[in-house]
Amino acid sequence: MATLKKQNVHSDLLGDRVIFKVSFKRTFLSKRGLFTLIFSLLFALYPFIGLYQTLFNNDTIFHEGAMYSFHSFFSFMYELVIIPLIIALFASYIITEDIDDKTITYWIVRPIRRSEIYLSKLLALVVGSFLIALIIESVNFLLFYIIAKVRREFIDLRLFLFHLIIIFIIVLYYSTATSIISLIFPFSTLTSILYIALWELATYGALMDLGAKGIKWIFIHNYIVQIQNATANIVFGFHYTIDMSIFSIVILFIILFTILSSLFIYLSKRKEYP
Amino acid sequence: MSKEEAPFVIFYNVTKWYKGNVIGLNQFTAQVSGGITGLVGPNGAGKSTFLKLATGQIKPNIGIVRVFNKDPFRDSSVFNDLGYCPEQDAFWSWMTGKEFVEILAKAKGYSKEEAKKETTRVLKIVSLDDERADRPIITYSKGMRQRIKVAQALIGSPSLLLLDEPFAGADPITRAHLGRTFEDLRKEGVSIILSSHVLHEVEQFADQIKLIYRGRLLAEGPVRDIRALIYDHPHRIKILTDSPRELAKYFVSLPSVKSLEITDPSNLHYGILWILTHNPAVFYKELPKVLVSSKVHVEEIMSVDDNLQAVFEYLTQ
Repeated sequence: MATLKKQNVHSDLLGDRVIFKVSFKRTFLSKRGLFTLIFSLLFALYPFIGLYQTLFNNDTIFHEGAMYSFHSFFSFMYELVIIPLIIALFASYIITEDIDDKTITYWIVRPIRRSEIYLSKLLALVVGSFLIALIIESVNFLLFYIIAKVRREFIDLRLFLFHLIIIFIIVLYYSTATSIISLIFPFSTLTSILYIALWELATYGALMDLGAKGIKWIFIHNYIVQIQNATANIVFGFHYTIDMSIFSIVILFIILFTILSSLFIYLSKRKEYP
Repeated sequence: MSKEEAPFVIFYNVTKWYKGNVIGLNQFTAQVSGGITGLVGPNGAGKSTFLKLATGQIKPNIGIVRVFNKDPFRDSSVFNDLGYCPEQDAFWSWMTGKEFVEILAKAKGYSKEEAKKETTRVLKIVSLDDERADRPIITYSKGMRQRIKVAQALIGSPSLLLLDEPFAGADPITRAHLGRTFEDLRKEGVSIILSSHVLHEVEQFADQIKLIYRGRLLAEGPVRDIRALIYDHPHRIKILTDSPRELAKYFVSLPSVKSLEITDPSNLHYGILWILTHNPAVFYKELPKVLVSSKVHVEEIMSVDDNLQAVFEYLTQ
């Protein structure tokens, strides 16, 4: 039988997307992915409690309206805590699993650049994490939306969109940052400690409004909070102080993402698989 | 230099060490040209390190590794014409054999349709082109796993195949089949490098043998030269018998016997006659005649040095 020989290194990004597909399926379309999603959605019970009180006790924990409750609850609980931790969990898995069980060998001995292999994994992480975050936001927003409808309160669908953008920024930042850690330290215990340190560093920035303002610019969540505040100003007409313009923050994130991606590609090119 | 003689793989003064000062290869210089080359050495000798360096999974600390005159660690175009079968059983658990090969064909640059055709072709070569290919790999026997790993290495009809312990754990039928497959591929002009810790596994069809021990190239050459080298080293033969002294009288006059020693374990009914020979081939030829003529009861005969480890220790002395 005649055989067709391929003589070029893949010029298309991501090696015909097979690495992306395999990594995505293995990481997200698995029991682990499903469990993480269910576990994350357990936090959405909070609006259920509010819904119950609204319907049956004629009382509510949403003193400032359901939309604002969604904003404050989702901003802190999900955008600063749960979603970063979910990404860290999956980043550790998506980067190190192939190395641990040696299936990475099959990709390494194909005409695919090393950087391409890891960019495929990074993209799978970004897409998978974003989809999970989107499901979480949709479920939460829907619940608060129903409460707002029942209570005949103010509703603004832009809130959903703004938080979607915030989620996207968080996913991009945490995916690259945690993937770099996984690439450098492919040991789960060490990476877990480093993830927590990274997350705590980021979170302190958000909690540092009252003190240590001089150094809060180094913490990534400081900028996330700025965008969240800007969202509240636009949607609810608040007057939170914003240190930087949204445009500057977006540019900052683009620069940060570029630096992290370059570092990621640089490290992936030098990676060995003993 | 003809195409067949041009070395595909060049290792020049290569040293590779791992964490904890574990030496993989030590100032290793070798070239591999056409035909089938067997890398033989005991476990931990450096065979897998050689293959990992040649496939760019790791890079040398010192020295130069070239495959098709390219650095396999930095230039992935090497893998257009190279197939690799890893030692370990690593698979994506949810895949069937066919899906596994098909995905790796796509990763080699084939379109969906081309990948299907190529998968059918390589599965046919390893005789897995039946309903077994549609079963999940986790249900495969060891032999079938070896075959599917070889199949993925054959994608794209590479001119160079690197096979890490392809016979490990395989049943006799799979061994025979894989052996025939490798011979057929050699006839088609494919160069093969395969590793094994058992010499006789590879000597049947290897043109060249490279003996590796403790990260160094100990000896290389045609199979018969290596076999002669192994037979040249002194062998110790242990004979368990109820009359070791009586039996020793018959061996003492043999030219192939260098020395004799008798030990009498106190707790055994039998004694042990130790024979040291410099010419095992001749000695083993004479052994049956001597045993028959002596009429002494022999419980067990064991060649304690008839293994590669002993040969390597002898060669490194």
